[in-house]
Amino acid sequence: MTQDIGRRSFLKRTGQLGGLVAVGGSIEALLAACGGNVSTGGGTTPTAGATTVASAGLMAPGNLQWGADYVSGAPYVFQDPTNPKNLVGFEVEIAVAMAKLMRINQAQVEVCYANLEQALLGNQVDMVMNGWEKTPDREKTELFSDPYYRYGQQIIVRVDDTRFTGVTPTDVSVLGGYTVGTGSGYLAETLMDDYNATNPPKKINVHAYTGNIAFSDLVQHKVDAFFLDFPIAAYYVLGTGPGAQPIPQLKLLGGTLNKDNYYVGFNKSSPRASILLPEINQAFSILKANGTLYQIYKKWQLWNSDQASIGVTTG
Amino acid sequence: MDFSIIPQALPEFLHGALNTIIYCVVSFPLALLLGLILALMGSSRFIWLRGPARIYIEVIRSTPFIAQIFLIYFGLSTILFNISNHFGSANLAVYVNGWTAGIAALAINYSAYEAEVFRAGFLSVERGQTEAAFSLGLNSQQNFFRIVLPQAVPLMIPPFVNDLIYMLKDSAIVSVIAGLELTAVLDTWRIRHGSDPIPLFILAMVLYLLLSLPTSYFARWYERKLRAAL
Repeated sequence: MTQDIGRRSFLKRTGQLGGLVAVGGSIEALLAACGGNVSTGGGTTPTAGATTVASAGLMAPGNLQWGADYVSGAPYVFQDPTNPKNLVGFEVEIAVAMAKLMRINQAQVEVCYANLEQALLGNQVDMVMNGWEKTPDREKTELFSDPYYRYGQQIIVRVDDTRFTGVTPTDVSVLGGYTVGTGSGYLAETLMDDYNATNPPKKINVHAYTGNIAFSDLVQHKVDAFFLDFPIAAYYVLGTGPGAQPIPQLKLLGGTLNKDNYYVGFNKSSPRASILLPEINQAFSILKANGTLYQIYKKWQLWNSDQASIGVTTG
Repeated sequence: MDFSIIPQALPEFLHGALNTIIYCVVSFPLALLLGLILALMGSSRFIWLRGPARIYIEVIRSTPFIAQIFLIYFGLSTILFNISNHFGSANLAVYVNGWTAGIAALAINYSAYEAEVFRAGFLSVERGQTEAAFSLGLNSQQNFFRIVLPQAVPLMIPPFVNDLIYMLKDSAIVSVIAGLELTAVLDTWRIRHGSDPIPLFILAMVLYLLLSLPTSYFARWYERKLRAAL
């Protein structure tokens, strides 16, 4: 009898503990699903006498919710290798700087890159800022801010690959006949597919990776080159930014091609977009003029003379 | 919803579907073969056969498929590259690509599950059949191939077909090692045409249905034929 009572009590306690674990797990999952559970730092302490930008276009007043993907997101938005609870990246710093001007909080909302547009159109975020390009398809449903970074596509090859010795690429045709890696859905993939669609004598054999870009494949001669956004090349190959390790076996081939800009995207059908867009543009104007963007790009080794063409100054 | 994108997307989607078929048509028979070997090893009376089989099955079933595919693609590749460099031989790492690693990963992963299907199939044959076979003078090998296996196969076909249909969809994971199959094509197109992705999703679903349904119907027909023959 005493043993039965002990067993019943044990089972009861186990059930209670299991219930607490289930509830705790549900709450954590709920918070994670809401996004923004990873700190991006940022603050709202205004500098005395500093310009303030309005923030009337936000879904949640006082909170700028911007969509981005931090998984394999370096150097745009990614988890700090020394403290994964925090996000780092040059776009994180831009968001923090914007929020300071607006005297609001900001929170990155984690969305898989492939789903960013649907999240924006579903009004899950105020805006998207994640190496976002203006494309004809996106212009059907989105409004775009002023450009905040001018970038290009970068070719990466092996240092000891003599086939590229003395080659200065001027367009993507230099990759004809080679196997070239890039990210699935990247603009670089589109550029190479468009080139192949012209039926050139030597097509590019495109290898598109989902998620992590396997630069080890280039080191191990499985591909002949990589072709993708310069910021990614700078981080992974040159080793700029926290947690980055340079890859000495690889090098950047020539300058960037197919120059383009990054923009912030807004949901065209949302009435808030027409309010928020000029506010973000005003913030960008200030950050370009006062040297904040210059400092951010310099820190991440992304600064180059192209930025002057979109109004970014040294302050 | 604007379905006018479908004719434009169709050639690439069909190419992706073909690659999905190739992945499955090559991987699944390998998985069955390896699964049969594991099942036979697992039912052996020798511990040095039974042990490794059980360890293999439990490890593979208990670890994420994506971790396995990364281990094969990146781990094996790095080992082969270092060995090639060390001995100054031809680079063996180039043979570990989206196809070979993808097929190997699918075959290895699914073999663990098929081994259990085989085991369940063998156990479902009445013990009396085996006893009768031995009493009639058949040896173990004859009993297995002439008595047990023919009776077990019709019972194993539904779970095999189930797993093949799972593999049709699981093959999407090869996109992480630059394998190009139907889901990878869908992902690329929906990023490029995010303003109206629904027609693309519908196209992909229709293609997956066209891949799965004939497989199911053929399997049911074959199962009926086998049962009739018994």
